[in-house]
Amino acid sequence: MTFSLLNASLLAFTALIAVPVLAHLFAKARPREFLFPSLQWLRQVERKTTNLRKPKDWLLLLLRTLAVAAIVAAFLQPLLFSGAQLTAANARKTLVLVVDRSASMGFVEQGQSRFVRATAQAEDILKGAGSQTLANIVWLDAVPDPEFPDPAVNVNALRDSLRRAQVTQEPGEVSESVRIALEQLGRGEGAKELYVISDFQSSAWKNVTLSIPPNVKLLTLPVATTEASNAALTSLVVQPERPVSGTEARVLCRVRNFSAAEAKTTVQLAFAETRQSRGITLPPWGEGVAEFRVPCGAACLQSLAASLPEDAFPADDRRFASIEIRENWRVVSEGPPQDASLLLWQRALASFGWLDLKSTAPDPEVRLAVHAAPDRAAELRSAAERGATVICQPGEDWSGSAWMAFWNAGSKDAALRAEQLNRDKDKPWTMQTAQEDHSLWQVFRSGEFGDPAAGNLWRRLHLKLADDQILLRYADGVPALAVQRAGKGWLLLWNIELDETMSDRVQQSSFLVLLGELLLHHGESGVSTALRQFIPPQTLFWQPGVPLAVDQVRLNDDAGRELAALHDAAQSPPVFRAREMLPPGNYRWMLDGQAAERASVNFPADAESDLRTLDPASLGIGKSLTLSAAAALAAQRDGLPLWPWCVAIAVLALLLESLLARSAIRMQTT
Amino acid sequence: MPATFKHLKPEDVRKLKNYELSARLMVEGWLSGRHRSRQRGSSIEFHEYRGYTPGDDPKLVDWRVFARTDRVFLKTFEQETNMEMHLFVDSSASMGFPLSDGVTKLDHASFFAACMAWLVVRQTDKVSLHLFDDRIRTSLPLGSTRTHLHQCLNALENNKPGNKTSLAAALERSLPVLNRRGTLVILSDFYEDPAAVFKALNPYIHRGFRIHLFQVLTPMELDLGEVGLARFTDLETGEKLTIHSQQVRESYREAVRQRIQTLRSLAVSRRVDWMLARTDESYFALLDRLTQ
Repeated sequence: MTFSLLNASLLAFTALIAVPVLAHLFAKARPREFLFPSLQWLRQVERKTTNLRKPKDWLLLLLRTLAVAAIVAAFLQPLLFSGAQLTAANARKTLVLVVDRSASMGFVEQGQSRFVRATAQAEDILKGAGSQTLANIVWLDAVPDPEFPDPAVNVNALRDSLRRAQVTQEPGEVSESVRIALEQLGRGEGAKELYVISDFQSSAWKNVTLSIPPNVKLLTLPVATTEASNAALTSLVVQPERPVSGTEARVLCRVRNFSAAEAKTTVQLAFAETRQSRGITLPPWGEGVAEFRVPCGAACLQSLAASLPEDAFPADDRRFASIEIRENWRVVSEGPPQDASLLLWQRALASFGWLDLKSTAPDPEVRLAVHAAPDRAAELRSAAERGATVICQPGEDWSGSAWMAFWNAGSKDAALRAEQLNRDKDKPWTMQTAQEDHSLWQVFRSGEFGDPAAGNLWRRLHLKLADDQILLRYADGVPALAVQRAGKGWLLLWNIELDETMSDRVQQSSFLVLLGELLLHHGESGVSTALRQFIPPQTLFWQPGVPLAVDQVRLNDDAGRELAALHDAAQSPPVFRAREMLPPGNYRWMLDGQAAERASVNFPADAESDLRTLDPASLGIGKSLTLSAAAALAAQRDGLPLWPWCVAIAVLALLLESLLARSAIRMQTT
Repeated sequence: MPATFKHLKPEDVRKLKNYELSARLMVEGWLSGRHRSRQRGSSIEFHEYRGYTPGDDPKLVDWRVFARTDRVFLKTFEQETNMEMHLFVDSSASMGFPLSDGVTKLDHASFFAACMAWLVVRQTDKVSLHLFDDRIRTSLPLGSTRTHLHQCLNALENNKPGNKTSLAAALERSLPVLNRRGTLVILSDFYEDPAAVFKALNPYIHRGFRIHLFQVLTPMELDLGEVGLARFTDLETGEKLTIHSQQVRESYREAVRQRIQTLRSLAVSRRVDWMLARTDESYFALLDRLTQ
């Protein structure tokens, strides 16, 4: 058993123990002086009480001295160690702590967030590290990184960084953080210990497989204490993505209930100057959608934000989006007069309210060329490169050079060849979708809008294209619909006959939907809403179409505060990027003081909102410690603090002294 | 009466004038036997006329003077002035215990003695004054004149606390001097053995003296007070004693009570009047007691 003093510098204060003794002597030696007529009566009573009082005086002195000694000892903070613990504390070893600071650690339980509990645990562990211990912290977030480049003995700096650390709004990369931690341990010396302090969120840990070297002792400290229930806004979708000015847009807020009990909540939507709210009931572990309709005013970029009433995990109670309200598209169509396909095209396009069909217009947003003449090929491509969306159904007379001028591929000799079947005798060509994961098909996945590849065709052009350009293909691989980026715009190859004598495609319910989605996905050079949404670990960026001077562009948050941004000139066109991962919110890229672009950062609800946790023991890795066991471990390392005992002794001594003094007086009076 | 005497203040004199009636009661009380013998009067000798005051016996009015002057005078005789009062004032060191405003226990006793002397002279009776500690330090014989009163007041004013108390010794030494029986008024704190005091008083009692003991004590002497741990210095011996007042206070009170009770019991058994003269109370309370 060994004693140690945490505040040994206060040792000089042990001299205070002499104070009661001196006070006692001083009080004896120099009482107040009084003249008295005669002491004969006083002597008479003094003789009676002297024998009784003197032992009490010494006992009082002893108790007072003991009380002062105990108080001084409490300030010195004595620690009681066993010899083995001291030896272990002073042994050379390496300690790496993986501290989870992913978004789920912000959940508040029993008045304290999981992260605060985790940092307290980490600090306790570091406090117990011996002077020879090399230590480091690896932060578990979207981009795990160590606090020091290598493990170091400067534990105080680590404790300081723990005190300053804050929980992030990012998902956690568990495997990467443990890999970095093991790499850090590899650079250490002596015994190696890896502590993982986390809430062991089920969604983040369930698929994790860790490979821990045998020379590393892994200890896991779960900090989640209760079953968490949570409601989260998981998505905010605007339909259409880029609504036209003067129309109404639908805003769909998807709310998820991460609890075993039905929940009722209210979704609030803030858009421009309007505020709307919807009550919503969520089934256990289910979700609900709150639908709002917002009026779209003048063409501009607008921010919108949805929110839920704040709960114990407020991070996922808000969601942000930017909405681009645009003018109607101008569509200019061309083709042989009275061409049946062209007429069908025009009828179909006229059914979209957000399209204005014009016979002629300078630089229209959409150009349609049906059975176009070969000499139009180069001009059509040129229009696309200027930013238009060009839909072209080539004529049967297109030569190889015309095709090359249009698609910028193939060879001069590879002329387009028309193929035709006999509708009464032959089996028609059918189509199928290519690039199954293409966002164009997302709307069709529910089956509500039919099969985008439905229809029978008896005429087509035979040509060959690269697979990554084909969106729809015939069964034999001939492309039916292909897309190519051309400059600022798009080139869409349309090899689907619409003439009702050669095709029944227009009779399919999915036709107009496909047409609309095709235009929306490849419409003009605008940026889709999805591109304005960032979810950590993505960092906010903006790639303007034209090069801009660095000092022209600023990044502001919704409150107008300027944020640090980087300029990456190596990319073409250059990219502006936020210096660090930003918290959820709406942001603006300012160009010469005007908002040139808006973007939103949202909480990674899919990864972090489900607050259910795992028992780390079920992961089959290392040894799991409870919070109390961790405290006991810290106590073993720290030594047993004796100051509470000292305080108790002091209080007891003062209590006894008080009782003794009272009893002495009472005995005198009786 | 010039107001230059420390122990006889003008306001006290004004109050004392109200005690004139009471003076007759004192005479009656003290010397009732003498009244009877005077009226039978074999040795009646004219002394003076004095103005009638309410309460005087109308028999003593000189009606001839009343017929001549239309004013009521009493004709007093020498025999009436035979009331003799002997004031014994303890002047030991313990009587030097300071009270408030620079006044001591001795002063408190002296105030009362001065009042008594004034009253007695005012009554045309005789008074003597004896200042003592362990011996007789000053002794003024009987007298009834204003000059004598002034001498008494001067003696009181010049008096200073002396040595240890020894009332018994003072009484023994005074016994041969006091030939005629009279009234003894003793003002002391009685810091000595009560038995010794009464042993010295016995001859006086046997000779028919009326004796009044006034025990002059301060509140602190009676109660000790809450002064905590304190060092007390004996004014008579210079001895020191360190004691915690709260610890012994109750015992001390009991000891004082017993001491007073002893003195009082002895006084009652010998038909001696005893009274506690607290210094925090007016000495006129003592006069009231005497006139009751």
